[in-house]
Amino acid sequence: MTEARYQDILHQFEALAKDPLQTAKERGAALGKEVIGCAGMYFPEEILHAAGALPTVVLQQNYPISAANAHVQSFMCGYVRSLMDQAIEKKFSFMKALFIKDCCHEIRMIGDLVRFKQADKIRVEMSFFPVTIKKPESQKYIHEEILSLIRRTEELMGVTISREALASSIKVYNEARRRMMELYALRRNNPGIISAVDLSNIAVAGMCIPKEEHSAMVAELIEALREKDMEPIKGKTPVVVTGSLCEVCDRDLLSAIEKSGGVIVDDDLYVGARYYNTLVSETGDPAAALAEAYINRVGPCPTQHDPDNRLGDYIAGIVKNSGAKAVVTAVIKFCEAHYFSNLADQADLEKAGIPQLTVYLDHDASLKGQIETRVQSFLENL
Amino acid sequence: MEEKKAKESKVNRIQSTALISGIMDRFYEDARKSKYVCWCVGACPYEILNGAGIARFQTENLASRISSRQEQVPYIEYAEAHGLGSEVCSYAKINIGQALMMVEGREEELIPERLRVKRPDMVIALNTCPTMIQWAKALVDIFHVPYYFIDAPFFHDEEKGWDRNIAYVKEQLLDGVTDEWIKSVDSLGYDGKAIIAERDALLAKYAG
Repeated sequence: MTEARYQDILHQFEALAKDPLQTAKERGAALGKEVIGCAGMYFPEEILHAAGALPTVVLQQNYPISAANAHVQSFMCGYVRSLMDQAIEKKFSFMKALFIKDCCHEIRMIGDLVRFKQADKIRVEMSFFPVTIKKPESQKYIHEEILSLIRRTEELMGVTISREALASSIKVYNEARRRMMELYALRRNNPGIISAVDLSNIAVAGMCIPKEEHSAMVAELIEALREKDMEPIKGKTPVVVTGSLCEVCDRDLLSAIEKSGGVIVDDDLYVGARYYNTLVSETGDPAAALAEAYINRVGPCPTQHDPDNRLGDYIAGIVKNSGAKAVVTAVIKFCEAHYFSNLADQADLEKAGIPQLTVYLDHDASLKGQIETRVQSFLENL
Repeated sequence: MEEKKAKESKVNRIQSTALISGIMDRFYEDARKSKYVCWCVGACPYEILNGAGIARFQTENLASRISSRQEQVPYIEYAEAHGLGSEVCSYAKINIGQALMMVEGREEELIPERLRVKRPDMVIALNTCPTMIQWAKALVDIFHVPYYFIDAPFFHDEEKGWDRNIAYVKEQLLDGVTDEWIKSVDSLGYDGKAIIAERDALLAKYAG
């Protein structure tokens, strides 16, 4: 495979990730599939896939928020404000429906506002998953919620979702997850083989195109990377990036780290490893498998309460496994769940002797210069 | 200036403010004298605590009591200095700031005597908004005490999930409280039977 082909694949991912909603719209039209949007983290997309739809994860828009400002307070996170903005601007009008997963109080309330204020009146379905995930009652509730989502999707799409169809969709999604984890392992073992911005584009693309297509593209990219001549990077500080819940991590932050003497060797970003790193069991009852995967997902989430696991310990494990020397945590402004969690995570990382920098990201503020300065001084002082 | 002073002197103070202030002072004084105290984050099932004879107060109330006296700034600054983001709910920051002052031995130095409270023997939270759980988790991390979190689903479509959601909360009160929470209460030397009776009366009244 030539260098030109490798670059071509990366450019394809970049083009797909540039406007994820437009990409999903075009893919849906080309494949003759209904597109269903999913907002909020960890929505079990396999259910929508099994019903013959194209699930697309609704991410934040990459332009300033305007219309939503008349409806939503400025002290809500950029993701929910953007969700509202996109709804008002009829960006979801091509969708069959929008599923919103209740993963924090902001998205919980914006869900109802989106439902009532959107101009094109697309169907909005809310879904509640418990915050405490390890109690027997919660586990039962999560299983029931999965069954409720199956029923609602059947009614929406006018189909019956068979056990076999759901099991088959789980396999398709697992394949996409395995490919991405393979790519992550390749980066861990060969720091700098692919830039963090490129990997972010690949992660975004996988949220808006069919998983079958994404797996094939990632497989081709992995083949190209394995053939690539790679000199070991010297003199750069290996870094793990975490956070950016619900949102694509700010590319200015990723670039700033890799331009300031750092190299990102692993991440715990939602639009990154966190979206892809939990496999669903391919044996037994598929609905129960989805519930089980939700409960036992890899990496505790700040929006949930898992008494058995601490996020700080999990991040310390990623650092150890990847040989990183520092952690940069991207916190979306006004993401309260992450603010609280970060208080404990910082203490846990300090105890583990791992230097950490918290960077707050704001949707509409241009923080490029400020981020670069902070990242540079952090890496220089290590 | 004279005119302004005259105007201020004519401001009508609501008499109930002073009365409520006295009630609150007595409430917190009683909690301070109690053998055990539970810090409640969110609207918790107080009846169960009352049944156990455990003093309790709401952390939001404690924070609002401080802020109503315009004394919130040192607590907020203390929490932020420990890494809590500046945009976090200010009630939570006041309360967590106070908790951090208490465990770091700065209570006498930084907290006026009338605003001091007893350390929690347990923490209970109900996620009226998920912030409550995160806030309570932070308190548990600070004090290392037993806790119990109650998950209350949010009702977007009452007709679709009312019964299921009522059943879910009821199960948590029945199973969770007896198995997990009651154990921690028992370990504090209370009569578990009285608590269960209180709980059953509560459930019979509201959940059928």
